[in-house]
Amino acid sequence: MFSLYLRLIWARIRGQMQYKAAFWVDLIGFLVTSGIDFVVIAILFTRFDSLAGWSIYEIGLLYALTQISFSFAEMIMRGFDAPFETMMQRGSFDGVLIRPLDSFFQVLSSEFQLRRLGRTAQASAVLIFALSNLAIDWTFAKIVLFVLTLIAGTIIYSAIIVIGATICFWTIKTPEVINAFTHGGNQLASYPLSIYNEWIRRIFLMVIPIAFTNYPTALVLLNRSDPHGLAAQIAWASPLVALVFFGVARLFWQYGVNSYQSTGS
Amino acid sequence: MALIEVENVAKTFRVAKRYEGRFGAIRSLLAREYREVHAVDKVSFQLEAGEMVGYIGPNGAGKSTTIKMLTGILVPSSGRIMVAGRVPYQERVAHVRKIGVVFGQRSQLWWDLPTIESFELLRHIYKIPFERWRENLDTFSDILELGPFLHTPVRQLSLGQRMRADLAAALLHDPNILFLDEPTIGLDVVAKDRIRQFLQRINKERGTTVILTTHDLEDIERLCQRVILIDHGTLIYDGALEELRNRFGRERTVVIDIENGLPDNAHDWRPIGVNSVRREGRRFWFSFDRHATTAAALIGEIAQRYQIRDLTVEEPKIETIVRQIYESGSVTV
Amino acid sequence: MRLYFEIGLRAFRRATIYRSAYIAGILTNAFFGTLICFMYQALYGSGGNVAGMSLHDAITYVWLTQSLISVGGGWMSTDIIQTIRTGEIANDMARPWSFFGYWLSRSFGERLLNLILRGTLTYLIGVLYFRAAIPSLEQFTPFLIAVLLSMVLSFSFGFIINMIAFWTIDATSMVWLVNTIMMFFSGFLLPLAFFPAPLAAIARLLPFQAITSLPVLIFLGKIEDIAILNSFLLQLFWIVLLVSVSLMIQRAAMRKLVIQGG
Repeated sequence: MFSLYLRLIWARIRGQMQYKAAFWVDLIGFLVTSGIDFVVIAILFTRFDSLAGWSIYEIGLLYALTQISFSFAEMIMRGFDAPFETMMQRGSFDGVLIRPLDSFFQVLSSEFQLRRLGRTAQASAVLIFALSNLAIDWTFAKIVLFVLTLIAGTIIYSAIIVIGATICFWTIKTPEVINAFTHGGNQLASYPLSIYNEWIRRIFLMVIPIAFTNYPTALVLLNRSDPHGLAAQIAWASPLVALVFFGVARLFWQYGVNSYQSTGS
Repeated sequence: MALIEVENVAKTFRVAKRYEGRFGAIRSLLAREYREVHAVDKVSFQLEAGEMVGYIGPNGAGKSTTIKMLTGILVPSSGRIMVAGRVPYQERVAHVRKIGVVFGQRSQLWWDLPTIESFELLRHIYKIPFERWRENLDTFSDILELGPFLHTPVRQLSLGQRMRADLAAALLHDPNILFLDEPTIGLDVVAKDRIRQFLQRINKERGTTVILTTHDLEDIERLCQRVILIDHGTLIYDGALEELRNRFGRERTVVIDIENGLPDNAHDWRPIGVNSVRREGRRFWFSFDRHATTAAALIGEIAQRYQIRDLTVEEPKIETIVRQIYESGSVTV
Repeated sequence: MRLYFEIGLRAFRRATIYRSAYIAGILTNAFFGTLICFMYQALYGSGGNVAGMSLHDAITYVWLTQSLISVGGGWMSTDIIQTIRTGEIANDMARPWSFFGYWLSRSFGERLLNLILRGTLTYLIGVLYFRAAIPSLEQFTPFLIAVLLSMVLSFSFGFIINMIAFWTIDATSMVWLVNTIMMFFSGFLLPLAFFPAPLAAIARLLPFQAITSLPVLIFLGKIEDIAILNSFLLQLFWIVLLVSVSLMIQRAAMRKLVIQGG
């Protein structure tokens, strides 16, 4: 199955590479458009001293952690993004259902957007900027946690993209809903979770666990404590939270496919 | 047990109502009502292995919906479908492994890649043994003349080439049943002919059951002994094509362009068996009853009077036949 | 004129078909508004004025920009690019109407609906949950005029960018890039008052501030009396300029269509 996945993805990448100029324009485009978010933060820090006690470097760490995960998820889960919407509008999802493979697998392997590396590059630059100005006492455990958080973050964002795509089964046209949770969640996680009210904190820890893409891990790395009493050690639960959330998204997808088959056009 | 069993199958869709009037827009934003559309309504038929059947009807008659239910894409609202002993949507993966599907309007190939690579990917998707795949590909390339464009990206293929490639792609895994949704739509005469010949061979040599929906009666005439006619979701005829044509599709039209020098009495002349004559400039339409005369006899007769520059014979349209069936009042199947 | 009115009305109606997407759009705007408000609350901390803006001003600013997104402030439609891709544009251009006028009335209809329904509802959420300011009639009337002018302005700018796709194959990423630049320099992402001096100087030279920043500042009462007239004049200046460019591009596109057949 994995070798078939690689084969299909490779086919997609070769297809994209037929438009080399567009590839580089897009890559740079993603670099600039995603970079603007941090430019905004940087400008705000010229007027304000701190954001709830966090320095621009600390915010940079939060931002980079969640952005890198987001860029990976966007790259891998591209099939569930805009191309899926187009697929629904053109009725070509039927083409998926006549192939002897799981529909989730097919949509997953239908696209892979290498050009999203533009966002990865931009976020990595912010990460270097942040880490070179922060004095983190790196231990082996902290390095492991850092890597695990990136993986968990990728899975969490992937699950949101799947949920967004699934909604398309009923509404056909829902780009903005997906936006609210992917880009919105991404923006939410760019600032410390502690600045939000209890409702938002709860939702993004327990329902749509985007907070797990960076906040608890940043608390551990920066030796900070949460003003609302969230234990920093919960960071180690990120992978588990991510997997459970992804499982829910996967079930929701199946429900969507079933519904499409009984009400489809 | 028949290969395909369709029993009292119905499919109902819910469609949102639109409101008219000045505040209609806002009303439909706030409250929405639905009406039910019966795309397919209690249709029953059976198909044996090796049959080649035309599934015809006017636009929106429910053809595609039926095909989608047979291929496992859609779940029927009620009724029972069994294909090769399976309920298509319940065992979708096992089911689609044994069928081939071609949608005339939409390609199933990888758009940006050379055609051959789509075939390669399908080999892995369907887990076709390499030897068998090679053999099939060679055969299809030969009959469908795929060779010249095997290394061309699909997006650069002409409609006819693309359709041939799609056909080959749908058959690489040796399906028992081939579903074709408008396979000749938009193609020129030569391309249509090539595809029809291919389908005939596949059906004869491999015993593949073929079900095709089409608007083109000639497709049916050339390929199918049996037709199923559907309109407004209901089955209105199931039987031999010849029978259908004898009863309802008797009228054909010979269209003739003549050279200069029209005789004065051109308007009055009406050969035997011709029901009506219409004329526009140098073009004539002779509509005739095929039981009263033949196209050949009629053309011969016309050639004696006029110098013919160009001629075509128009077949009755499916829409016309359906209308006639309704006008005749009763349908006995 | 009647024709363009009908086109606008159709667009207004069409936009209401996707009801759930519409409601989702409002909630999305409100969600982003909420996030940014919490950010400002955290930044301002105990209070005070920063660059002439109080926390209350900043909050009102956020909800206004979120309400105006679909009116033209932070979003450029790619509808025309779609018709270029499908070839539909050749038909649209051949019809006996002004192509620019057709799209302007279509877009105006959509934006008007967005202003009346989506914008108002989004802002209402801001008023209820974050006490965004309710303006006096003296502030609201010029604000409304400024918004209507900004619709024409942002449409014309979008028209130009969309039409460039006529000469380039894939304009999608260019649209993204231009959109980001527009959002940044129009004051959509953050008030221009917070910009460092060099960036603020650039922003003043670009047409984008007339799309978002000016109407919002009028609403906030930061632009008053005679200054309001000045900002109308600035908007009009950019409208005249961008509409002229749009019409020129339209002529060039027509020529290209005639010569190459699309």
